Amino acid sequence: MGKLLIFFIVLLVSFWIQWHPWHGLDEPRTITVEVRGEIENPGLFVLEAPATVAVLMDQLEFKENASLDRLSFQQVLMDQEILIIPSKAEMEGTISINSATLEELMKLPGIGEVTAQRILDYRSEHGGFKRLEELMEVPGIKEAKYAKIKDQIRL
Amino acid sequence: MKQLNWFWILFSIWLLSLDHGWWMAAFFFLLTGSQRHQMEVWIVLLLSFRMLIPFSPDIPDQFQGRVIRLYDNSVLIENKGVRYQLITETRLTLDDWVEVEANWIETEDSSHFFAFDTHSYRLQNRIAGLCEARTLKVLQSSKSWRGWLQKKIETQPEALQPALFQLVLNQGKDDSSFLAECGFHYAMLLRLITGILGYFFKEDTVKRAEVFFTLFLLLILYFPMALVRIFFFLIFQKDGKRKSCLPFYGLLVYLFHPPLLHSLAFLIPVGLMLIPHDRSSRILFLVLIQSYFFYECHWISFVVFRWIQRAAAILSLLGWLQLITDLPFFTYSMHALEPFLQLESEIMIGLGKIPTFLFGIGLFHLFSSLKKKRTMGLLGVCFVLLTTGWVFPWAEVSVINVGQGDSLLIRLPLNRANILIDTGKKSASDKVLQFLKARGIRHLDALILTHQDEDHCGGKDILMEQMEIKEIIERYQEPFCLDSFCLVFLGPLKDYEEENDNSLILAFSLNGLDFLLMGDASSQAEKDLIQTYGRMHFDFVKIGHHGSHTSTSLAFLNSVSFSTALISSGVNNPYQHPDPLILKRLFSYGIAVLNTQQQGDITIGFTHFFNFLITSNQEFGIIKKVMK
Repeated sequence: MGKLLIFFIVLLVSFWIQWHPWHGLDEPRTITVEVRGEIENPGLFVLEAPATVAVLMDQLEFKENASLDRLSFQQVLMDQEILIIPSKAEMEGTISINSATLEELMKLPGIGEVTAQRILDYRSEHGGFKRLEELMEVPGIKEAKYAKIKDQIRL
Repeated sequence: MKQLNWFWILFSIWLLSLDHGWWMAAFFFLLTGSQRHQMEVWIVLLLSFRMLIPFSPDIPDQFQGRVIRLYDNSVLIENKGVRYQLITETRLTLDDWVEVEANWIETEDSSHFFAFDTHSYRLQNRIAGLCEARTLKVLQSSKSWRGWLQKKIETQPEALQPALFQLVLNQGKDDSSFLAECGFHYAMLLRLITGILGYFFKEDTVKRAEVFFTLFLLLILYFPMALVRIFFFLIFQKDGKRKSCLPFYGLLVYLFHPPLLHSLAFLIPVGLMLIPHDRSSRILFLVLIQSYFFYECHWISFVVFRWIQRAAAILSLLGWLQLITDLPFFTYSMHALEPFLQLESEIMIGLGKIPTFLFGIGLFHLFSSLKKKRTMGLLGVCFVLLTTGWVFPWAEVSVINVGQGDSLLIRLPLNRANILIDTGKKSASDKVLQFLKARGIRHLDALILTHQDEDHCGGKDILMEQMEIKEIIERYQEPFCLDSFCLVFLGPLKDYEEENDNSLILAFSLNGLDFLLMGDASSQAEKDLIQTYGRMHFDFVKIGHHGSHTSTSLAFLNSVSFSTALISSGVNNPYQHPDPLILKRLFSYGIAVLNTQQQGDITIGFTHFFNFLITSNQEFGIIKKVMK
């Protein structure tokens, strides 16, 4: 009996040495976001993933003329993302991709009727854009085109 | 009950800390059951310091060494205990002293549960790495007997060369021949010769002749361990009790050639010596050995084992004669005896890591002198468990590591139902088959092919040949149900232009965990999925197209929440899947990633009490259900 017991102890020890736990799920994932622009406390913010803009908002002190038009509260923040909070003046004349009409969207450079319609379709299909970059998931808008229009749009 | 030597036990446990040490541990531990010699303890203690130096070889740009082994298109070069595998077209001779400027090649293989595991093979055999030669200089050409024999063999007809290499030179050119390594044919050869001599001379003379002849072979063949073993037992055996010299033999091997302790060449002869000398014990022992080292047991091999030995002995004798006299003895007999040797190479395939515990229990009962009936009963049960796959009584979902491609197995408890989703590439069908066979799976209730790409259904034909498949599903259909398990087809929702988008999207739930398999669907198909089904929650999602940037869009991540992503992708694949952008997205969304590139085979098991995860790179985890 003793021999058997020891045999199992040896087996257990060997298991313990050969195998190691996978921490994938419990691993703390923290993302770092840089916020600049019209806020009192610019800098790096460390948040636990997944973090939405709503979570970050508590830690930010906005200046009076800060505009939130480029942020969606539902937007999930990416690791090492840089958020630039624009001023209200900068936002004047920009077009909201979440509420603009077909004609308004067509005023953007490089956006014709077809693409504008696709943007509208995407909006109605997904319930609106949650971040500006999501515009690149609309067929026909690639990085180059997005770079051209990104200063003229808001959420 | 026998008394135990505590020192041995502690020593065994310490040995465990070495890579794959439990082999040695079990061996020494078991030996101590019957043998106790204070001297041995001290010898082992002194020598074991040798093992304290871990094997962490550096890979120099330039090295020198002696050619010690030949493979089909590569050679093994040894220098001071470290070995290098060199791929070369140049014909090198054994025992050449060469200088190599090397380009090191990264091995493109991640770990597997059952298929051949390059990494552990290297570690066990102390091979530092694989390289190609920029320049190769033979500093001193071979002057050994081995080299001479090799040149002699190379003048023989090409068809005979592999067999001659194996039987005469103890060099399996393709490394698959365990018979050559174990050296059973030498034992038989010696028995044959002494038998013949016994008719003419006295017993003493025959004994001396045997020792002399073994020594002669040893010198010529440069001390293969198989012959060393035979020689050792010839000299030291007292009154036919070979068992009593075993610990010393163990020490000898441990001292001069530690990797051998892991290999079949050591375990089979030693094991056969330890077990009771009757046929049933021998067969059971071979069953266990096979089930440990290979992914399935082949019943023929242990029934004809003895005959293969004999055939090999006769052939090697004839081979020697042909080499020396240049008369075609071997050529003719080869035709007659070839089927035997063919059989041997057929049954000895990939090296794997089948659960050790079963093997351990069997070995334990074999070695410890239990009542025969009980041992037989226990081993019988083990055998049934192994061949039916009931060793793994839980249900499981496994992502099989097929390199670049997809293959996922759903298995209900006790093999009640097995469903395979995709087969991987044609070249990976071996890995899938090995995985299935190791699980005791002989038929599939359904084979589901998500779409017609080569990396998803390339192995279809081979699988259909080898397995009994009840149903092949290639199209969208109503939920597919077996027992209480249902596989739901979520997509494709319409006809797409892009072939990948037409791939089947599947979802199922097992023991409280929800799975979504995206196939190769891109963001276009993802969009339609979200639109049709709205927000969804899963625990595991096999994300689309091996983690390519065309799939797993932001919209998908916003609507489908899950805690773990499964990715099936090959090491160094040319498409660079998974895309770093996607990995970053998954990270930011707080999703853990399991990738076959890193984790190898991934198995998620379901028991009545909890769910767990094991991967072939030896990670395990208990899955607590956490939804984020």
